[in-house]
Amino acid sequence: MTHLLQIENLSVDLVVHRRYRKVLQDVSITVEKAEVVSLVGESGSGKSMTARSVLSLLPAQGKMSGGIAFDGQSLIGASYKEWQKFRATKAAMIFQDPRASINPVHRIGDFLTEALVHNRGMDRHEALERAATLLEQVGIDDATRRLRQYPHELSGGMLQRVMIASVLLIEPQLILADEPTTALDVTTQADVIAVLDDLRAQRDMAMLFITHDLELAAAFSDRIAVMYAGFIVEVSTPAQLHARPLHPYTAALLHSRPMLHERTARLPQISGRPLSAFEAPPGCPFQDRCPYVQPRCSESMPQPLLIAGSIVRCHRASELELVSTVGAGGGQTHG
Amino acid sequence: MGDAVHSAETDHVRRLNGPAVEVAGLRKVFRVSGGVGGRRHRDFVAVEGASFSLEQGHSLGIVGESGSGKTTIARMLVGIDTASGGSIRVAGRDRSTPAKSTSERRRRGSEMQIVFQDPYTSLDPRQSINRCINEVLKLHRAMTENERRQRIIELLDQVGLTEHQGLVLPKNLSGGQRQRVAIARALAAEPAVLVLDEAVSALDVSIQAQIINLLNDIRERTNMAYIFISHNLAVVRQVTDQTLVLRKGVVVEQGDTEKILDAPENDYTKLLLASVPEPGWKPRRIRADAALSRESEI
Repeated sequence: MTHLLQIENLSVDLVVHRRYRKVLQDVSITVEKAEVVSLVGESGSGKSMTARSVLSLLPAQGKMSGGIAFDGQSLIGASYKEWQKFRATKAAMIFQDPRASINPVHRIGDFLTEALVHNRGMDRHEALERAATLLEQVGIDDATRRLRQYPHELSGGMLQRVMIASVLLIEPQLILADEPTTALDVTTQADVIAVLDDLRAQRDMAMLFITHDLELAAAFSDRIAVMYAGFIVEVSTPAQLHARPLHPYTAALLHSRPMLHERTARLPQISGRPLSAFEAPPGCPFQDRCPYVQPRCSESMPQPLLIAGSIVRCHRASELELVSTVGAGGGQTHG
Repeated sequence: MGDAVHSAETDHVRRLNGPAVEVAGLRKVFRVSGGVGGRRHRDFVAVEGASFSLEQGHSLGIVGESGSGKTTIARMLVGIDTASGGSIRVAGRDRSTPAKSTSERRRRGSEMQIVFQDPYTSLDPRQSINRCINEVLKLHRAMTENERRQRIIELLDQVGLTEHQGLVLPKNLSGGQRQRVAIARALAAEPAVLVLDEAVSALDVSIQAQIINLLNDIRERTNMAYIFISHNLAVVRQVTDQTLVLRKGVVVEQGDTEKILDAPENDYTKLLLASVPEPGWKPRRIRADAALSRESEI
């Protein structure tokens, strides 16, 4: 079966302080047509780098190994021109901060129609009309006036809608969204997510959604991949992930969130801090923070295991019975 | 993490008669330039008539979205901004008008301290952690050099940092560790009230849990009062016992945190709660009541 996007054993090294440092290790994930997959993790876990690798948008001198295929065709070794074409037609990215990624000296209309006019050779007026229709669809009133305005005249929430419109305009098969609502207020976030998910679903577009917010990921993805120190440590459905997390890190993340509906006497905390891939010790990167650590954890990184439909990389996954909330029966066994 | 050990010496906060903070009819108006050449001005009301009272050892959450005025309230409380109207009393003393003398300003500093959101910009990059805390001790506490040295170690220990980490510069510490330093620096003045302005918002989930627990431990131990500003309602439930909901400078609801989060009365509070993603959450497009939800978008 051909996957829309298939990432296989992807490793990435970047130059930090004049030395190559590992940021992604052995990452494998697929995204099917019209599917939403979320990458969840803390800072430095490699979720943004995974998305950037898909568009070949790594920082200068970045080294990439492994496979990335889109619709059955390998993208590894593609020329600059081919990457450009891929980014202009097949896959597009929504960035976290629209103000940093939309050219401030161009009008909204020029920004939105650039791709259509230059890449597709569409007539400017026709492109503007298309843009106006789409602006209405993402919830911006008075679209023709907006097209003449500059980015500084729009609020953050509004500008993020413009960004979403710009991505939808080129009708990609895959949207990569890198924390698209993190900088927005909660009510605006709810609205922008609703818009994005509606329009994506109508057009059968797939999405790789990057967030640090487990609840947000659970709310509208088909599958969630949890990342830690450059590895994907668990891939599961939202329901399964919340009901029965398999990796100790996933369980710990779920525990340590404050809950909206009840106060926890004391939040169970994970000691230490999240590591980047290059800081991680040999073996499992979570070993120093893991309550279930064993000697073998420092010897080798566990290979992906398939348990109850989820994929997990933990030596002890099959014996641990983890729960998502503290005190929700069962408890954390085998401590 | 070792945020447990502490000595009895660190546990006192001055006893007060009456509330730690009393605010009545607080108001802030900014003059915004507009028109051709910025010659015409208009008044922008950032905070309108906020009133609350906070007892010692209690914690008040101020929640709202960007532009709601929550940070403006914090800035007026600590004296970065001057109130346009209303009164502020902290530890029984009025501070509605700017301090008139250095000693008065210093006394206000010893009564109330603030921790900001961004641990990367709120520490002096050229100052070691020890020096940073030492400076506050010198200013606010009558101590010998030896006592200060001892106290720095205690404070670092209290926030879960080692003696060795006191020697380094902020750039050698992670975000969570820097936020611990900012808290230790605030505690050094032994204030009656600690203002926390989105102090855990920029932190990763696992680090956020550590800092929330630390804050709850400190409050229990010292009887310090908190003003906890946040947009995150789940965090507010965890850290506060009273809450005030702000929208466009106006308090729309205030009372016990549990009551507000479990049974909100105001429509805006309800909308805020409904917007928080959780299992089974279905975001809905809120174009119809957009006037209620969105900031006035130009």
